[in-house]
This record gives sequence, C-alpha cells and structure tokens, in this order.
Amino acid sequence: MDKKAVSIMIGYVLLVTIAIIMGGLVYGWLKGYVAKPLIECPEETSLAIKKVSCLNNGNGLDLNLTLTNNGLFNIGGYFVKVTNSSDQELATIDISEDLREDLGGGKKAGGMISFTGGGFDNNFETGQSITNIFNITSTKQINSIEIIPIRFQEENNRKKLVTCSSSKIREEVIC
Amino acid sequence: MGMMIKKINKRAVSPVVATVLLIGMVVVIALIVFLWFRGFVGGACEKFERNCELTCDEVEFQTSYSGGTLYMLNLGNVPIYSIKIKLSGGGSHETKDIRDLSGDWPLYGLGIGKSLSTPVDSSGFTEMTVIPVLLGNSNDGQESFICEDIYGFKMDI
Repeated sequence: MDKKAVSIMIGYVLLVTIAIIMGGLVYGWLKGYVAKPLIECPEETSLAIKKVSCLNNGNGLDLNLTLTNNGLFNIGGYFVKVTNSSDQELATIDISEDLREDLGGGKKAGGMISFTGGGFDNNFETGQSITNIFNITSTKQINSIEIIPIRFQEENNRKKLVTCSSSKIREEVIC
Repeated sequence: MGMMIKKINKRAVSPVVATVLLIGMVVVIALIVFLWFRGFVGGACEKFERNCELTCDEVEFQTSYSGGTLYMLNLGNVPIYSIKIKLSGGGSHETKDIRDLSGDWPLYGLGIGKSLSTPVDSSGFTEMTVIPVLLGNSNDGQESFICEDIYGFKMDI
C-alpha cells in the first residue's frame, strides 16, 4: 500500500506551533481577568466635622468648617459638596472653588480641597484639626454638607488620588 | 563473495543543528500566526490594565432623582465617561444616553469626586436605572464600554 502522509517532522512542527499559538491566545484573553484589584483607601481613614457654622462677614456669607482627622491614616484633602434644598437627597453643589485660601487651611485643587499645597502628600495628620472658610454668598442657601476624604497612595511608583467613599460624612447645616 | 557493498555517502544536517532549526521555525511560525490572528479578532476593552467588565465592578456612584432633576455623585476611583438612562414603566421602556438628554454632562465624563445635577424628562415612566459607561482601550483605540445592568442603580421615580 502506498499511502501518502505528512512527514513526521512536519507533523511535530505543526503540533507544537498550534499549541504555542493557542497558549498565547488564551494568555492574552485571561490576562485582563486576573489583574490585581484597584488601590483602595484604608477603611480606618476618617474625618469628622468638629464645627460648622455660617457667618455674615460684611461682604457676604461665609461657611466656617472645622475638620478633625479622627482616623488612623493621614489625609491629603477632601471633596466638599452641599445641598441648597431640603428635598435634595444627594449633595452635588461643589463649593471647593469658594474656599478662601487667604485665610489658610487648605488649597483649591481642581474640584477638591488639598492639604498638600500642590504636592501629593497626605499632610493632614491624625489627631489634627483644621478650619476652612468658604465664601458661599453665591450659593445663598445651604441645607446640608457632605465631606469625602481623599488620600494619595502609591501604585507602580506613582502617587494616585484615591477617594475614601466609605468615610463620607454628612451633616445638616442651615445657612 | 559476490556481495557488493555499495557505500552510500549521503550528506545530512547534524541532529543538534536540526533541533535548533526546528525550535526556531516553530517559534517564528507561532509568532506570525499569533500576531495575525490577534489583529484579525481584535482586542478586548481594557481599563486600568484590566478587562472593562471587571472595572465596572469598581465603579461607585450615588444618584437620586427628584423634581425632574437627576443628581449624581462619583464616589469611586473610576471616572464615569457617560451613563445610560433606562426608563421603564407602563409596559414600555427606553434607554437613552445622557448626552442625548442633557447638555450638562461633562465632555470627558464625571471624574473622581465630581458631581452633577441636570434636568431629565421622565414623564410616563415609573422607574429609572442609571448604568455607567466607561472609556477603555482596545486594539482599535479608545472605545466606550457599557456596563451591564447589574452595575446600574435602579430607583423609583
């Protein structure tokens, strides 16, 4: 019988080639599913509102906010939102741009208040308190305030902003 | 003694060289076919070096709806490029992109810690689901990825 067939050598080459290709394809597909989780803010990060009040400064209305770091980790800054209606459940009015930087205590940083003065360090240490004053004349009325602390954490040798959503605090305040 | 011994003098490659050539050919062929096949199929959407579907699980936001206004706050560490608003009720439903419903949605989406309030017409519907849309990377460049409904936030309106 004179049957034609693929040479054994060519058979081996094809077999190994197919195995490597399939391995590569599966690796490429699975790589996206086994990545490490995103960095998170430590749960013991906490900010507390020590005091909040509204004062008429003669030129308008100021919101005085005193915060205390009562957690176990230093904090880099915070997001601050308010509501101007008692019907509003979620605070979405951003007053960070109304911060009076001339009175010290923090810096405006693209929609948040930073304690780092432009850097990426968590400078608000545990046990410390700080007072920020916001000119809320344009907002006119405030019913509640929400604070979300943030930290700068290192990932792949780069500092990254991380929100501490589980440490969000809300307080009713009538201005 | 009539046997004639015919000496066959065939030249051939040494076994070591043959093995090296074999392995080399296999690797090259595998690489060529892999690159060709990968380009043909296209890559999955990736965000933060992980599949977009996995990143949807990390999205964290709060939303509420009252008085015809949608309020939204991005609490997590994943920027939300867009949202799909799924309105249902009275036996019908429709899904729309927020950019078609409102001109207030930021051009590059709702960043980390950012908030938004915008009017959204929901007349005739009793339920609203807000579904996040992410902006990921694939072999074809940047592309939007709509998260599944389970990652959305449902509320009665």
